[in-house]
Amino acid sequence: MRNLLQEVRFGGRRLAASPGFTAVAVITLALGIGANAAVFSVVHTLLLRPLPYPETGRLVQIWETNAERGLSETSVALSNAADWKAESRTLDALEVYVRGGFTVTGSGQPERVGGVTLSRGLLELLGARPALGRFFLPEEDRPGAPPAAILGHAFWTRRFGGDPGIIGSPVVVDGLPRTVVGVLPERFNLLYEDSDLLVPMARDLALQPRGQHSFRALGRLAEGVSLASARAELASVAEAIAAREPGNRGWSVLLVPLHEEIYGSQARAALVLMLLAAGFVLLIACANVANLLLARGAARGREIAVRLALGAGRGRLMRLLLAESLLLALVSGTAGILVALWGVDGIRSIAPAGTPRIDELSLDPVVLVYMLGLSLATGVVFGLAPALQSTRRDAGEALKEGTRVLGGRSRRRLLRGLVVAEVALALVVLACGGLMVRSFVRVQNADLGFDPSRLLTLRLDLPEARYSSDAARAAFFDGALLAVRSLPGVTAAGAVTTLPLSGSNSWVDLGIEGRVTEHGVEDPTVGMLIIDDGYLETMGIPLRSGRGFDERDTEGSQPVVLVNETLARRHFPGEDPVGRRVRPSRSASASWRVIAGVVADVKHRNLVDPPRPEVYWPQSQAGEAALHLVVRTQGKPLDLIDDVRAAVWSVDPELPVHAVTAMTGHIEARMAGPRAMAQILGLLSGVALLLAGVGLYGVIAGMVSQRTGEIGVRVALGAKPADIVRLVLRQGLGLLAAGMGFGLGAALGITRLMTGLLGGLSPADPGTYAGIVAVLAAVAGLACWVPARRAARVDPVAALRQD
Amino acid sequence: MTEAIIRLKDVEKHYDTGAGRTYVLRRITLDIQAGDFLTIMGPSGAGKSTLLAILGMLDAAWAGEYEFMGQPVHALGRRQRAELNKNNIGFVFQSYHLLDNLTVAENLEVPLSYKTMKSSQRAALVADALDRFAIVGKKDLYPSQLSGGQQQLVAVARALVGSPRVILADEPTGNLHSAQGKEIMELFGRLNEEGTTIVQVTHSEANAAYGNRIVQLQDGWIASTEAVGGKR
Repeated sequence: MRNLLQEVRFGGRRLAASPGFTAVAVITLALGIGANAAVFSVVHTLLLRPLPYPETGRLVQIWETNAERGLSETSVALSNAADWKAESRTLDALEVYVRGGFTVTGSGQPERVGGVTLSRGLLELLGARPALGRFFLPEEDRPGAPPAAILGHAFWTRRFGGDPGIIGSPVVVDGLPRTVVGVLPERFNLLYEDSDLLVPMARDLALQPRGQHSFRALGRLAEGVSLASARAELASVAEAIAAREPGNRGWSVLLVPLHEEIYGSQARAALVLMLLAAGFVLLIACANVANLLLARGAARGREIAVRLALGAGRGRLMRLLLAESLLLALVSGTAGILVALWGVDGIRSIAPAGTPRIDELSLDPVVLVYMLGLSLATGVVFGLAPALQSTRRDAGEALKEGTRVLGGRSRRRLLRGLVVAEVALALVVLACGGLMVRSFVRVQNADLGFDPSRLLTLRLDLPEARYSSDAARAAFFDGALLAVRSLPGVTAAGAVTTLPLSGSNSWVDLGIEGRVTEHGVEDPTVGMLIIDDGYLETMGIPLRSGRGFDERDTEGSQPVVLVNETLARRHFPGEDPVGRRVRPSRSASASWRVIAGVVADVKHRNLVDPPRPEVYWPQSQAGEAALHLVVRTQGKPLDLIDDVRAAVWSVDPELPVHAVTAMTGHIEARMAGPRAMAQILGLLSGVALLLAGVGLYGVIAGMVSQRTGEIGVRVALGAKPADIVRLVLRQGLGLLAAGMGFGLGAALGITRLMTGLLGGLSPADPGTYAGIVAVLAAVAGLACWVPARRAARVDPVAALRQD
Repeated sequence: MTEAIIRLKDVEKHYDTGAGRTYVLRRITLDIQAGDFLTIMGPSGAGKSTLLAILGMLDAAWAGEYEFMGQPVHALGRRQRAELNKNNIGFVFQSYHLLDNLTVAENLEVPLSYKTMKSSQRAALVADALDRFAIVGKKDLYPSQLSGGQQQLVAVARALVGSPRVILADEPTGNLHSAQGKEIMELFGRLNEEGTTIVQVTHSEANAAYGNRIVQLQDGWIASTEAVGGKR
């Protein structure tokens, strides 16, 4: 033990005696270890740490799917959920919920809050206990029950000052008084949904329409039941339902573990990729420090030889050298904490808003233990090869050759191998970063189908109690839009149910006249939006044929719709759909609607997916209660917030105006995930490039210094500076080419993991690879050029004297 | 007749080069008795240092037979050779080879640290050596703070701290001026009188005169062996 401590002490002394080497090694390793720890803290917080619910491994999100209609993860119909619950033996609980907004009025300003309508068992399934009062009683979750509500802790504190007397008091929700029965605990998280206010479902689930796929379902696998067997059982239950309910033909069930549902397979792939890239950066750092240690090992050859001569076994020498490496790694790991803290802060600031548990990101004890383990492993990785190299030769020869003992062929081979590995690893990281950045730029420049500049958006939800008729709702929006359009600085205004890039929109099974199938089971499912007659012009969405909505389209006039180009192309190939008639296929009583026009495609789901068929309904014939206003401004859109709000309140002073943002901000928020990935991988690529460049420079400079005598002889024999530069460059570029060869092979394999993250860009995109090869070649070329130039300036007389 | 502590029979060493095989040592047969003070001499490239490295078991790539204290070194594995070396042999080098980052006392402790020994015992042996070589006042100094003679004194102290049976010295005075060299050689003389077997490599006739036998090497062969009276 004393020997070990002594070796650690000597190691510390040696490091202190070479502050330059120590500083370079510590900075290099701290970057690698810190970057790894920062990425690991994200992986640990989001992927490894269990969700804060009991039996979390047994919780599954349940979706409906319909392969025939191309619907992969669709909200569930309540009646289907009721049947699953009744017939499944593999689930011991199944609860339903739907997120939504509520307008709270009464005491204080009208306020729009996020909340959830849920079946009463959901809170119990998630292990919640009320902070105050109680949760819903069975009788409060039945049709016709006295309306009740539960308040979220933050909302209770904010709006009611944390008043415990709130229990039993009424709160007006969407114009309807509800009795507050309880308050959620402070740190409880309801499936990462906004949960300011909860209200019970209070419906007979079995009696709800099967075509209304609007709800979410959470189930719990029965004790000892595997996911696969539950999936199989639910699929056969769904098949049985489809057999007896013709409208359910083609519908099946998808069970997704809750953790996977919350973070999604793409987020997992992204995090694994980041961890891999950070790991590669650390390996490059290790290779650099191993190079430095090898160079020092050459200088330490005498010490090693003396120790061998004095009776040191190879094991003891290995221990001595590894003790120094481990000490260096631990110091670097400690410095890496600073890098990791910075990295965690950075990741938190660029992560997409609303990423579940991102606020819990920290360097907790698990991450610190990981860092310790990583530091020790790092010490072994970079210390082992030089230590083995240093202790391999006989002391007799070593002593004879003095300090050049370790400058032999095997050491040069090892150095070259390390540089080749560095270049290969750097190329892999660069490929990941390059592909991510290119995909981000591509997506950012994608044609959205509308002009997002100078657009202000805000959302208005009309309470049912005060706006109970289509006419009342239409009148409000007409009035509000008129008031907004009359504002100075506003050039146009319109309204829509779902903003572009919102991730999802409503859909409808569309019966096409002359092609309607029995029960509508084979009718196409298309996206559905409701817009007012000013929306297309405000958004700058071009009309391709026919006409847009206008004042002719009223509640009593000929029902009309617009379709997008994709719908026209897919369902009316080779013909102009204008004048053809369609209707919602589930409703035989619905009127046929004439297709009045065809509009350009707009990216409604996300920036990546190709447009889907979509149909637009006119608000004047739909009477929708919840719409986003879009306002085109002359100047900065956010400057008009107060004016627009005042214009809305001039029509209804009690209506909450929420989700106010510039369209560009809305798009930015949708880009946050790809941007964060591009930034993180781009940064790691930069570090990898820098470290590989420094590594290559170090090795080539070292080789030049070893060959000074030879270069002197060559110059004396008539070599020109260009010949010497060529000589050195050939050596460096040979290593570069070998590294790139290995790196390209590895990158083509590894980047296949990224397929789902690249928004359609091929992981083998030739443009990206050409770019990164050029960048790497430029940096590596510079790293070789500098020592080559120095070699070309060697004074032959001085060099020969020195040799 | 004392017992041979070292016995070499037909020891050879060569290097394979592109041009063929180059011999460094040829058929070396030599007995060294316990208590001998043997000097190996010869021109540069004769194989002196190579022979010393083989005797010290620092070099394993040779052919022939070598017995050390009755143990067949040629038949031992690397680990056993290292064991035999550290328990019985002390080295003194031309360029001292003190470890720069260790103090004088720590340098003395290095060979002891490779033996199975309690730390208190190690400390006592180091203290004895510091005392014996009158370098107590320098125990906390680093080699760079000592003169050449002082460094070689420490190197000799280090070679002796583990009480080896044999000291192998490679040009021990090569980097010292004459007064310092004389001091070191007299020290070797005294150690030999106390019973330590010494084998030195040197170019110096004066240094050779301190020993009792001179082996002349020439192109890897033993050219001659002669007994000398010694200066003592």
